[in-house]
Order: sequence, then structure tokens, then C-alpha cells
Amino acid sequence: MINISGLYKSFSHQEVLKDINLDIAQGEILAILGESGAGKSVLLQHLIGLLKPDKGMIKIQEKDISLFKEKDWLSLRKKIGYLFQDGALYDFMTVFENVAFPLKEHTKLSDEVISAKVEEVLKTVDLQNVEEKYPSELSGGMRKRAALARAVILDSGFLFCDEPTSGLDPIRSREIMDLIKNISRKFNTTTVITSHDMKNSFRIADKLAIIRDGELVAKGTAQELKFINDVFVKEFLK
Amino acid sequence: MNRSNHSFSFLGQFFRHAAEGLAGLGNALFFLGSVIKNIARGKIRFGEVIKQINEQGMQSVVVIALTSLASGVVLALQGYVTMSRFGAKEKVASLVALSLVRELGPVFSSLVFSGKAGARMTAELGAMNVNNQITATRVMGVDPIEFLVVPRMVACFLVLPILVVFSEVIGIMGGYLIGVTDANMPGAFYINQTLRSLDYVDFFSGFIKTFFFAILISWTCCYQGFMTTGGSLGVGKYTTKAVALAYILVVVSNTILTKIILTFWG
Repeated sequence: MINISGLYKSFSHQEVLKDINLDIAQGEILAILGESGAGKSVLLQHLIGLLKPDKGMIKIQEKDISLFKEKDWLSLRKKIGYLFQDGALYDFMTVFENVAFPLKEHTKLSDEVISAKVEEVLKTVDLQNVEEKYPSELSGGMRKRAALARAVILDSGFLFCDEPTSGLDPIRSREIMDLIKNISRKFNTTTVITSHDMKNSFRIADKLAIIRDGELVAKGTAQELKFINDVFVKEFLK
Repeated sequence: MNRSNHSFSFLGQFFRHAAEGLAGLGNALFFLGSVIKNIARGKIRFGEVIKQINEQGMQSVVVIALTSLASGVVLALQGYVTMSRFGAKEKVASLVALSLVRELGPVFSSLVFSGKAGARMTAELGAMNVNNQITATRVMGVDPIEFLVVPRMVACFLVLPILVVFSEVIGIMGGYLIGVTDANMPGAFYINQTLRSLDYVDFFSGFIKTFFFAILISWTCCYQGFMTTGGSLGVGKYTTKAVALAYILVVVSNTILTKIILTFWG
């Protein structure tokens, strides 16, 4: 469960987030939609502690993370999988080493168990026979899938995805969004996705939130959003 | 009126740059503090350290060997010509050995090391930073200082002194070549002169400095890597800045350390 209330953030006197209030239920997939620069990624970065709110409160599993210090975050982040827009895989590690990294860091599992887990997760994201390749040898879609495998390897309760379909063609976009949905359902993760990809977001998300100039202008299921009487929302959904 | 506006503008810029410089120094010291804290708590990944020793050492060893050999040869050539004027050509071996061990070995090797391994550290960390890999490390619940910086700094602290001793040996061999071929000295005499002229004070007065240089180089280069922004252009810019800063720090700190060592140790 994630609760965001009265969240404000500004950079150099420019307000980027204004009074955001949002509740995300356990196991729910929420897609945050909005134009470029609307504040979607900034909101996501607050959830992972890369940014601190100027005002407001964010609770993850009843803990107020806006008061967290870096050492508190190091511990909580083990429970959160984060998919970066560009994957952010380590260049100097193979796909296997990248995916195994969180397990090696945070568990005491044997090498055999780690190998088996990595193999299983890579199979889940439909990425096999590339374990020994480096990220630079993979296509954009394969890198995203490898990064997704790394994000979920710890069976974390939360999965945050920043623009998971950016730079991908429509077929790969559909595949990666389906994967996110399947993984979220399989591991019962609370998933937050920021995206421009309206079609796929509507298809996989339980709920959607639309942000405009840092303000939350609509939230609801895909069906509910269609009946919201707001010029921007109607224009955006076209 | 105009003149006074210019003065205010100049003063304003001066204070702004001074404030930025102080803030930068503060951040760099905080960064070094985090590294020291990790090391003090024993958070050293020895596997990564060995990997870094291998990379930093292997990358620099050939260039350092060539630089040292050339330095030894040039020192012996110049020394032979100069010393001959005073009828003291047999002192060439001492000149080469003392110059290399007390000053040139540590300083030249550190400068070459900054340009090779130091530049690599900044470029690697800088590229990781602009590609979000450092942020990804934090997001995965791993301290990037512990994972990426401590191994590089510890490796540099261990490998640079070894490279310096190696460079001194190579440099002395360069001097030997000239002493034997150009100055027609017997090989055994040259070696004997070298060994007789070197005291442990001479060796350690140069050797100690390399530990300071190692800290300065690795600190500067890792910090600049962590500060890198602006994509691939930024990586180039910060790498150049890191190497230039490392050069300046090595040269300036060498002056201060030499004065301190000579005051207390002769």
C-alpha cells in the first residue's frame, strides 16, 4: 500500500508537483500518464527516495518515507524493484551477473540457487541464451527485459517502471507492458508505471492517473476516466 | 556610476565563484569522508580491489616503464656531459639514482598514472553516472561509494607505490645503459656506485610521497566521475578536468611534501 498526500516539489522556484494525493492498493497496477515535463518521473523518484518532498507525506507500508535518511532507504530499497527508462544495466557485467547482482548483494543463497533463480526469471521475461552477453550486445527490447528481470529478482513487493516502452517499437512495447502485467500478477507486486503509451497503459493498468503541469487532474479505472468531464482529460485521451 | 556598477558586478562574480568553489570543496571532502568511513568499517570488497589492481596496474605499467627508461637515459646523458665538465663523471650513477628515487620516479609515475588509470576511473564512473548506473546502484540498496569508489581508491593506494618502485628500477637501468655504453664505465662499478649512493632515507623520502599522490589522484578522479553530467560530452569534459586537477595536485603537493621531508629528514 502506498499513500501520497499533499505532495509538493519545486526546483529553483518552479513548482513541479502541486498537492498530489494518491493511494495505491496492494497488488494494484497504476499507470501515471501525462505530457513530457508534467512531473511523472519526479513523482516516481519520490517513491524511491531519489528526491525529497518540499511538503507532504508519502507512506509505503505505513512508513513515512519522507522522513527517511539514506541508510533507511538502503534497507527499504531491497523491497522495491525499479525499472529505469534506459535499463541502467551495468556495462561491465554480463546479463547473468546483472540479474544476479541483487541476489548476491542481499541474500546468502548459494551460487547454484542463484543460477536457478536467474534462469527462471530470465525465462519469465522471455530472455534465454543471452546470459553471457554484455548489455551492449543486446537490442533495446532485450535490455529492457534484462533490466526488468533484475528489478523483480528479489520478489520485491513493489515494482516502479519509468517509461518502460520509450524507444521501443509498438510490438516490443506491447510485449514489455504484458510482461510487466504478468510479473505483477505472478508476484502480487504493487506496480507504478509512468508512461506516454496510452494504449498499452489502458490495456494493462488497474487504475490510471493523469498529471498536468504537476497537478493530478484525474484518477480512476480506464472506464471511469472516459466519463470525466474535463477538457484536458478528454483531449489527452483522444 | 558605471564604474561602480562594474565593481559590484565583478565583486558579485568573485564571491559567487568563491562560494561555488567552497561548496565544491565541501562536497569533495564529504565524498572523501564517506570513503574513509566505509574503509574504517571494513567495507572493502577484496575481489573488486584485486580486479582494480589488475586493471590500473596493467594499464599503466608499459607507459610508466617507457617514461622511466627515457628519464633514466636522459638523466644519464645530461649528467655525463655536465659532470664531465667538473671531472666527476663517475658520479653519474649517483645523480641518476638519487634524482629518480627522491623525486622523478614518484612524480613522473604519478603523473603518468593520472593520465592513464586516473582518466579511466573518471571516464568509467562518469559514463556510469550519465547512464543512471550509479543511481541504479543506490536504488538496488547498495552504497555506490562502497561498491564503486572504495575498491578503486584502495587499489590505487596499493598499486601506485609498486609502480613507482618499478619505475625507479627501470629508470636506473636506463642510466646504467648510458653509463656502460656512452660513458664507458664498467657495469659492476656503475651498480656499486648506485647502491653506495642510496640511503634508506633517500628511498623512503620519495616512496612516502606516493601514498599521498595515490589518495589525491584516486579521490579527484573518482569524485569527478561521480559529479559527471551532460552525456558523452560531459564525460569528456569531466575526465579532462579530473586529469588536469590530479596533475596540479601532484605537482603542488610534491612541493609541500618535499619541503616538509627535507626539513625533518634532510
